[in-house]
Amino acid sequence: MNSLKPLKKYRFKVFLAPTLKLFEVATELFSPFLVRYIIDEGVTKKDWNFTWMTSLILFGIAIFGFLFTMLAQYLSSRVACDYAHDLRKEVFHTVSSLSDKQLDSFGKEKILTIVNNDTFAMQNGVNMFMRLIFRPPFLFVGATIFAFTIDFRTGLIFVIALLLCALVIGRIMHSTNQKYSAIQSSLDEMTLVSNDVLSGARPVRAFEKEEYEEERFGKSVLTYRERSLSLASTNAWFNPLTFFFVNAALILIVAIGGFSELEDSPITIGEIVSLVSYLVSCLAAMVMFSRMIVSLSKALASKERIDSLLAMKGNIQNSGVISKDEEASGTKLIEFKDVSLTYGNKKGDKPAVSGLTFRIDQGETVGIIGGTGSGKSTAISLLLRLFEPTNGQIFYRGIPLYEYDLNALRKEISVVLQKPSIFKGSIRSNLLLAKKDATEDEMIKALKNALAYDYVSKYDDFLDHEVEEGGTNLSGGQKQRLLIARALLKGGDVLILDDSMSALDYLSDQKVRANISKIKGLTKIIVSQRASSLIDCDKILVFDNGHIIANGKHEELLKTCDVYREIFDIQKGGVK
Amino acid sequence: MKKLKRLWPWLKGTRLAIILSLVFSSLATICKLAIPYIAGLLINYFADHRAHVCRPEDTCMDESGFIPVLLLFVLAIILVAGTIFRHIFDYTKAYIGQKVIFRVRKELFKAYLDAPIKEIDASSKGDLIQRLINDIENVQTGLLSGFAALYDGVTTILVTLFFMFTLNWILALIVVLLTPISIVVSHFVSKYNSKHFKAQAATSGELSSFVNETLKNSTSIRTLGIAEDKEKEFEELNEKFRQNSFKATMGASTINPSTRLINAFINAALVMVGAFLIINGTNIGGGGMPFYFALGFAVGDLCAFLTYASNYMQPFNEVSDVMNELSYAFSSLERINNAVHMPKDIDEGKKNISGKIDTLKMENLFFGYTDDKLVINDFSLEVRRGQRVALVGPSGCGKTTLINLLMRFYEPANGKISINEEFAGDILKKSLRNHVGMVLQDTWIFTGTVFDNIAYGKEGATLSEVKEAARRAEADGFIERLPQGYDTVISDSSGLSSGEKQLINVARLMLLEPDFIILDEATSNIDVRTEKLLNDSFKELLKGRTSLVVAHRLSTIVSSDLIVVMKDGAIIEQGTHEELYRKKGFYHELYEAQFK
Repeated sequence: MNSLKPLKKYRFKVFLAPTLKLFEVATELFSPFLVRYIIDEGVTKKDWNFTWMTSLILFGIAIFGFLFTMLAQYLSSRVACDYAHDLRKEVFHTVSSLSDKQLDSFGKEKILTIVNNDTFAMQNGVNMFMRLIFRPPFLFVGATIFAFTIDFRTGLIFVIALLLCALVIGRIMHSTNQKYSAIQSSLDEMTLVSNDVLSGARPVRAFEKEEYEEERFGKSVLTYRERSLSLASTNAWFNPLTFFFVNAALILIVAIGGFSELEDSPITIGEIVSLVSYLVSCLAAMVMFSRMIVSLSKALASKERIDSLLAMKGNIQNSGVISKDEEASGTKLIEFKDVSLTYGNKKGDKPAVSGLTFRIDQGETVGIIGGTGSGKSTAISLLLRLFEPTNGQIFYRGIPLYEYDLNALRKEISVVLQKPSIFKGSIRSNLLLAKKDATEDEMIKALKNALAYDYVSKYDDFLDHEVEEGGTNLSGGQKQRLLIARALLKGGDVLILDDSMSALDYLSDQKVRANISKIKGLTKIIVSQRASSLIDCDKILVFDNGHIIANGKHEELLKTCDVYREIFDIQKGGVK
Repeated sequence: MKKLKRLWPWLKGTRLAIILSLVFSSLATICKLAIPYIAGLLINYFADHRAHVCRPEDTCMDESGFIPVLLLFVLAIILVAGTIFRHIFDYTKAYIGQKVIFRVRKELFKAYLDAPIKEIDASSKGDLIQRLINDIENVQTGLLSGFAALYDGVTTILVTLFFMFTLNWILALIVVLLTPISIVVSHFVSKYNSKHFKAQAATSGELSSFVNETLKNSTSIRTLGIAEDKEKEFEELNEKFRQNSFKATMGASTINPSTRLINAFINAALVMVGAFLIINGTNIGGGGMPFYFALGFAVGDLCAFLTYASNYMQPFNEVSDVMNELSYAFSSLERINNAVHMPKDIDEGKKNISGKIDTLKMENLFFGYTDDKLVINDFSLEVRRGQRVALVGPSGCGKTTLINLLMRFYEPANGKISINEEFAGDILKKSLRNHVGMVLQDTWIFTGTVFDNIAYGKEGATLSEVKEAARRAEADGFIERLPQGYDTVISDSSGLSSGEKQLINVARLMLLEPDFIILDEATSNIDVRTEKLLNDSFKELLKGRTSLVVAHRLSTIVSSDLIVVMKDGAIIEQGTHEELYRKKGFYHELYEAQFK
């Protein structure tokens, strides 16, 4: 999809804008035209009546011009704001439909810039385009035509001067564009170094690398300066050269006009004066035009970024219609059949998980254990349909997962993710995300079960205690407990804890698990690095290198699975 | 003005260039404004010439045609000179700016390097970078270029006024008295409009943080099934932004046409009054061009006047733009200045540690990051050479803080640390840090190759040394799998897992082989099996060295010579694993919880 598409809705208004501009420029060009008559007919012939009447017309057309301009301003502001609104809506809608993998590979920082800055740049771009872009060309063309009607030579001077200016501006802008991006990369480099040094304040000092870092930064500052000066040496020609061409034209016109008195149809003094004033307004318009091109080219870069985002299509679609009520329910709740997932789509990319085959029955407590990168979280993501499997099939309640209504699926499964996800607001608002109409009693119960009540109850404002963005005013353990409470409040049939008690000490970990096990009929999937957390599970899946290498109860696994025994022994420390 | 003084020392070495650039700026302005004046003389000449030609009984002022040629010649010279002056001015302006900010940037960066950890911890990293990058840019564009534009604008206004009053003071008065109307109007409109702009900026901020939060929590939004709610919330903000933005945009859009309307009025008034003066042949308000052309106010004068009047407004606009930028730039300057003058970490010690660290003694240490809460509360411990000491305890009990004190990143509020019976404050920090190597909980990867990252602590390390260190850190496996192996450029956000980052940090230490080693949760993100392999390397490394190890997973520290159990900043138990386990105290409870 193209980011200009939302503009289609406003095309009539968009086309109206240049028409209004045409009138506006006409009034602007008309004024020197009248001045010429005032001088030639009024002043030279000493006709005061003619002079003051014509002068009054000057006031009149000024007002006319103003009205046209205001109309154009209103139109372009309206269209720009409405268009940007539609665009932002479209962009956010696209973002919501993208999978996590897509968001990550596109870059969340970049998306943030797109939603905020780039759409605003497009708003300004459209506004400027409608409001300003037509005025200078109309003015140039109008003034040149006028110059030609007076005399072929003056017309030619106009064309040449304007072309030379355009050439200089184009040339300078062309070379500065590249230089700007070089400067930007220097700035990025400096940001990088300073970021490294500030985040590594301790190692830099511990390794006594202050001088080395100073030198590293010094180099990038120097490059920046060289690049900036190279840009400046080009830019420093902009004003002088445009000044030169326009004023050279002015002098030539005065000279040619003045010396033409002996010709058959001499150029009158009034004509010279009006040509001079056309040149003066053309120069101003030229400078403005070049600034506009710069701003528009910025908007163009924004457009490209937005386009690349809008071109993406969410790879998880809710095409399923079947939900809980319609299914033929058995005890079998979840089943993986030879499931694999490869993140990349290049040849030779290793699958993150492969050959996953297991089943989970209703009411079971299932543990998942394995090293980092062994595919535990990937398996959970597949079950939540955050990714589609590359191969194999997943069944939920006996139905292929992709045929199951996605909204129903996510309502039925509560999950606490590995990475804490807390929203700015209050304890209450965070809990309510899981269940809009939860009562205070329900919330307290969930908090108690998650051992979060201990600290929440200490706040004077209790549930309304403010929570910063990302939960920065909570400790790691407090965050995890709040999130478990949120998942418990949500209810549902399945609860997944993905390594979500890592910041709790072993005692609290144990208590929370005990509370959860009291909830009847709940199917639990616990992912943990701690073998001790999984001892009581009905079934433990041992992940290694993207495969499930064993599946069974704690005692069985101790006997049959080397990897499991090893993990358990290491954690136990071999001492008792 | 006081604020401006802060800039003064940074201008050293560029002061002559500044004076020169001001001179060139003035010359360029004079040339630029002299052209319409002299062109006006020419027009006067031609107009007069024609009037006389029309009436054969008069004689022309100048029969030879020498005067117009002379004037054209003068014009050509002024044109070329103005062009060159302008170029010199534009370039020196940039040169001065670059030279100044070059100096400021280096100075500020040095201040960051010299600042005590306490200052860095207390500041937001983003804010410090903002000062170093954006604020300095602001000073360059707003203050240095701004001043150039300001000077340029003011001289243009003054010179224009001079020419206008020379030509005719009545017309000049019309311009001078009427132009302020447009300034007043634009000022009034922008003042009225500023509340819309503020509303727009505020809504933009709301939108931004909303989107940021949504992106950060994208997975949980999906799993909570609230994506549609979030879209609705976004739409509310989006709609609010549309309305605020329209008001702001429309408001700003009225300024330009209004000032243009007033200018057009001034122009019309000048034409009318100017024509009146010429027709009546009076010399009211001044006789126009001087010298040889003292013909009374004439057409050429009017033409020059119209040019001046139409350009008279522009410098005012520029000056007011500059004024806005200046206030931004001043606050940036203030922020830079504060950062440059942040406290320095003075290494007041004088002694070097000779030989190795034999004893490390902490006596009755007290410390808190804030005054109201003690994090270290009467802590005493002695570590001797070759000892392996472990610190355990619940999170927040002060283990990491203790390391901060030992490395002298922070100073204790009370109590004493001594090394080899020498007060730590008397020892050079550099010397201390030279003897101690550490891997911290927060891993640090800087943007550079894997090789550079590992070799960071040891200047001139060879590839084989680095490879050996990586092998011992169990990092060689994944490094070999990276696209360019040890030459792969990595950064904190380049996609390494937190476990892999820790391994690189461990490799850094393995290469350094210091005699005192601090490991603060150095393996917390490494999976158990790699950790087991790594433990053998650690055993090898720690042999004969002194070490202080913090770990959550107690299995890693059971074989320590001394286990120190901390709670609320103080020691509650200490001894070997067997002693503590048998004691059935807090340690026993912590240890047992691992298996329940």
